[in-house]
Parts: sequence; structure tokens; C-alpha cells
Amino acid sequence: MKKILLGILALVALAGCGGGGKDGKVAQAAPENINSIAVPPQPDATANAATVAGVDSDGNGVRDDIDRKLATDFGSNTAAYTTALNHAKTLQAALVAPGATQVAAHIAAVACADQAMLDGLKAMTLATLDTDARKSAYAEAFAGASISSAGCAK
Amino acid sequence: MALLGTSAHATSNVIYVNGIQNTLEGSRQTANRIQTILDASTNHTGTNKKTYAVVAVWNPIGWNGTSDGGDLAQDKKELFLLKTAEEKFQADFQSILAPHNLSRQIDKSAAERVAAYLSDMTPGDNSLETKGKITDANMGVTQKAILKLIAEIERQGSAVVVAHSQGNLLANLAYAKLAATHGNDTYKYIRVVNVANTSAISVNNLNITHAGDAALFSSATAALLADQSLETMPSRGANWTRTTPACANNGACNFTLAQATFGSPTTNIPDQGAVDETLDHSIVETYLSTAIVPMAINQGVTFTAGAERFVDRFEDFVYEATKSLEASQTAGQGNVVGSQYVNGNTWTDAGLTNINLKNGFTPAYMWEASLKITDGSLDGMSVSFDLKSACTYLYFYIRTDETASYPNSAGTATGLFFDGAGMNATKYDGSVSQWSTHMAWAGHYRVSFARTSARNVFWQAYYPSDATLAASGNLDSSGLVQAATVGSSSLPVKYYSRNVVFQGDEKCSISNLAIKTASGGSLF
Repeated sequence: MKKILLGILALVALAGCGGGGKDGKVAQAAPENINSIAVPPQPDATANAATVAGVDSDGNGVRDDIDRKLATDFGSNTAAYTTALNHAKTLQAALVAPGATQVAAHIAAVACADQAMLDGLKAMTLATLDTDARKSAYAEAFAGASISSAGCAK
Repeated sequence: MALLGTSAHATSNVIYVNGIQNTLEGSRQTANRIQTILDASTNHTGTNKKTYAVVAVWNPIGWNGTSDGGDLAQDKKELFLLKTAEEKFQADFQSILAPHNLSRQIDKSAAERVAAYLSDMTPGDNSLETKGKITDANMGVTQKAILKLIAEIERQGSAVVVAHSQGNLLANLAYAKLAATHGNDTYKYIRVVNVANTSAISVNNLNITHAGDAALFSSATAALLADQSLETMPSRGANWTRTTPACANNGACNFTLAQATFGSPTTNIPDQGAVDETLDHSIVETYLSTAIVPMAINQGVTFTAGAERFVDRFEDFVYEATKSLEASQTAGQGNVVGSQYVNGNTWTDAGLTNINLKNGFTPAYMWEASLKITDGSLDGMSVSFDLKSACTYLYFYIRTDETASYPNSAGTATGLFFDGAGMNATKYDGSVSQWSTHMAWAGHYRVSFARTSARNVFWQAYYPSDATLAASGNLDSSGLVQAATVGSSSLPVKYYSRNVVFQGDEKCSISNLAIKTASGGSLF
């Protein structure tokens, strides 16, 4: 159901954009699905690496290349995909604007993930931290962070 | 927020600090593994089982791209700087060590000097700084991590810090900063369990490091493989040099590490990844594994009989640290707050000396507090003290250096005294209990010795196995020291004793110790 909903939303978004650029976002040539999840096209590597934020053409709070990796790595499992997507969004938010709220949200996403998910989430983190600036932003945001499962849903 | 230095929770706190090359997720995974081990507490059941809450404090990867080299290279540069700083402050650190089984005085000035290396994390006198490879800004996130570790300990009130690999160097600086602030009370806040210790120091003498750890020790490098040890890192091609008390003239000397406290594992370490198969260094894959590991150095940790796997050792270390921490929060740490007068002399707190591990006895006394008494006269003596927790071993005695023998029954000894079958104690409320098997219970005690006859000051002590005393002829048939002297009821009793000594194990602690001559009036 989740995958279907995401697909519909992607189509609506494309229709709304009329296939052209809007709000500075990169134009999307054609919809693409990975594991039945609509994903943005692979961004230009240079543009994507130019800033900590990178390219987020669909404005969902996740870099386009990470969107694609999420769909590839987790798309076959709706629950895992949802967890990983939240992890990616909170990470991106903390890297771009490392306020206390954003940092806390990502720490909660890590702290409350079950042990089985953490390997996959770790791989996503490493994929996200693919430039020096992003690594620095990560270290600055989270150095000394306390990660506790207290308060997580059992 | 818990009151700092208190055991405010039924749950005991563990803070895990990771080493290099860890993400938030990796740190959390290890903390989860530690939590699982302590939840099971395989070797501690029933009333011995404790409840733990494990929190990870993330130690960032190097400085992540703000200098040259890859992540691992940057982590190594950070390690180099931390070890260089350690060589500079190591002499001062000796004055703030607090072995888990001893009561020690913390030199706050020394702690402040060590903590200065946290305030400025570029220690100077090394090639990396000279060449501009590292700056204070590069070390900023590590500094931030240490400060947040301190904040987390303070938030929790007290904690056992489990530090792995490079995390130990961070834990040491956090400890020093706490010691600079809290002095002797630091003992109430923190114990550090060192896992795969990269430091030359084990601040609480709770070090789990095995000799086959190739990330630490060059000698552990397997045949045909390249040396990847921290020990030889400065001299392996990078030509990273430094001038410190341990390495003169801008040298590339090997780093000194604390000695391995365990031998190499004697059985296969199961389920290792490719990297750890080479290094045997990972906390999860090696140090929390089920491989059997033999003890090499006795650190005073009580091990579960027949439980010799890494994971068993780890559990026992955490429990030992927790017991020590909790005991210090309920005990008085041997502080002397009363004035002491003997022969008209005022004894200051400095008169309490030699709080130290007393070697050469079986069992080893975990601490000893002795008051030096020069040769002189007194009409009796009163001693009071609070015993704030139960002890397995508590000895109070007058150490004599006399060579003459004395009668073994004379005068009176009221209050606490010792007999051959056990120890009787009169508590301050007048109740009497026998400390058979030398178990001393918490409470306020007093000991008074009064001169009531011509031959009456009678100090009797249980002192079972001292060869010198045995040879002196001062032991009676029960093994008691007889230190009474012959004198006149109208004259001060001559005494020849050298020290008033308390000895006890790590569980017991005295406070409010006060001593007066009998004529000096009651202390109570």
C-alpha cells in the first residue's frame, strides 16, 4: 500500500511540475521506479557534491542519490524502507541545519532502530557521508552524542 | 538529573565510548550488545544480579575531511596527538589514579595540569603540528565528545565508562577533568573499564586487554602480515616525531601502552570479520566473544569460577566496577575530620598516611590507614570512627616494634577489641556484636583503652601472619599481638608502638577517625 501511495504521489508531483523545472529543482525527464518506488533520477555528481545538502530534486528531504539507494536497499520491505527513509531524512536535516531538534531527531532514529536494521542504516550513513564537508558536518553535529534506547517504543 | 556522585537509581549506568572508525549506528550496536550481555548477566544471578542501562557516547571518526588523508589516516593522526599529550601528562596522571580496590587521594593540582590537555588538544613539540597537519580546530570534535561524555556522567550522577581502543584516551581526559573539579570525590562518580586499552594508563585498574591484540601490540602481528600496531605507529614510515618526557629529541619512538592484562585467547574467536581476524581488536568480535582468555595480571577483580571467556571476563569487570562505585557512594573514603591529640601534639589530617595497597599479606589488604606515633607516653587512648559499609576484612591494630614479650592478660580493654576466635565489637550504642570471620558491619564504633592498674594499657590485635612479629615473640598462642607494657599506675605508661593501623578491603571505609589520649576527654 505504501509503495502504491508513493507511486501515486510521484505521478501527481510530476504532473504538477509539467515535467519542467520549478523552485530551482532539476527537471525530471521520466519517472523511474526501483522496487516499485518512484525515485528521482541519479543527480549530476559534481552538482551533488558541491554542497552538504546536495541535490534533492523532489524536495522530500533526502538527496536524490540517497533516495535511489534507499529504494534499492530497502524497497522490498515496507517497514524497513519506512525506517530507513526516516533515518535518511533526519540525517539530512541534521547535516544541513544541525540544530538541537534536528540532531535529537536523528539520534532517536538511530537509538530506536532495532539491531537488525542498524547494519543497513550504517551503510546508508556511510553512503551519505561521501564528501569531506559532509563528514565534517556529521562530526560537528553528533560528536559526543548520547545514544540511549530509553523512551523508544518496545 | 541525578545528584552527582550518588547511586540514585536502582539501575546502574554504563556509558560506552567507541574507538576509531565508528558511526552512530556502530556505536549503538556495540552498546546494544553490551546491554544484552548485562541483561543476561550469565555469571550473576539472584540477588547478585544488577540491572543496567547502557548508553553510547559517540566518539567521532577523526576530524572527517577537514585535513588531508583518508578517514583512517586522520584517525591515526588524532591518535598520535592524544598519545603525545599522554606522554606529557603521564607523570601528573600518576597522582590522580584511583584503582578500583583502593581508597586514594586525588591531587587536584595534578588533575588540573592533565585537564589542560583537554582545553588545548594540540600538545606541541611534534611534527604533525609543525607541518600544519593538525590544528586545534581539527581536534575540536574530539574535544566536544569528551566534554559531552563528562556532561553525560554528570547527568547520570555516576557511571561505569566502558571505553574501547582510542575511546580510552578520551575517557582518561574526561576523568582528569572530573578529578580537577571534584578531587577525592571523583571516586564516587566514575569507574573506567578499559577494553583494548590504547593508553599507558588504567585509571581504575580495570583493564581488559589481551596480548594478541595486533592493533595495539607489535608482538601480536601475525607472521607474513604487516605490523599495524599503535605501539610502532610513529616509526612506521610516516616519520611522525615528537619530543616528550618519553621520547627525546624529536624522535619516532614507539608508544608505550599499558601491559596486556590477559594472555592471547586459547580458543578460536568465532564469527570474526576479515579485519578483526587480522587484528583481534574489535570489542564485539573479540572482546565480547566466547573465546577463552587467560588472566595474566591480577587487578583485584573477582572472577566467576570457571567462566573464562572474553564475555565472562567483561561481565565480571563491569560488575567489579559497579560494586566499587556503589561502595564509594555509601562509604566515607577514610576522611579524617577529627582532631587528634597524643602527648599534647595536634595531629592534622596529614597524619593519616599510607592509604595504600598493602602488599605482602594474604589476603592483600586493599587499603591501609596508619597514624605514626613516635615513642612516648600516654595514659590511654580513645579511637572513634565510622564504618560506613560492611567489610570482609577489617583490622585495627597497634603495630609494635618491641622485642620484649608481655603478659597476655592485663588491665581492661573496652570497646572494640579482638580475640582469637573472632572479633568482638562494642558499638557506640553499647550493643556488642561478634565479627566472626572478620566481618565488620557498618556503624559507629569507638575503641578506648584506659590505664586502670599498674600494668594495664593493653592493646591486642589480630595479626595472624606477620613473620617479623612472630619472630619478635609478641604473639601469643592465638596469634595475637601483645603490646601491653609494664608500668606504674601513677606514671604514664610507656608505650613503644609505632603505628595505629587500620586495614580493610575495598568494601569498607572509615571516616570521622579521631584519636585522643584518655586524659584528653571524651571524643563522643
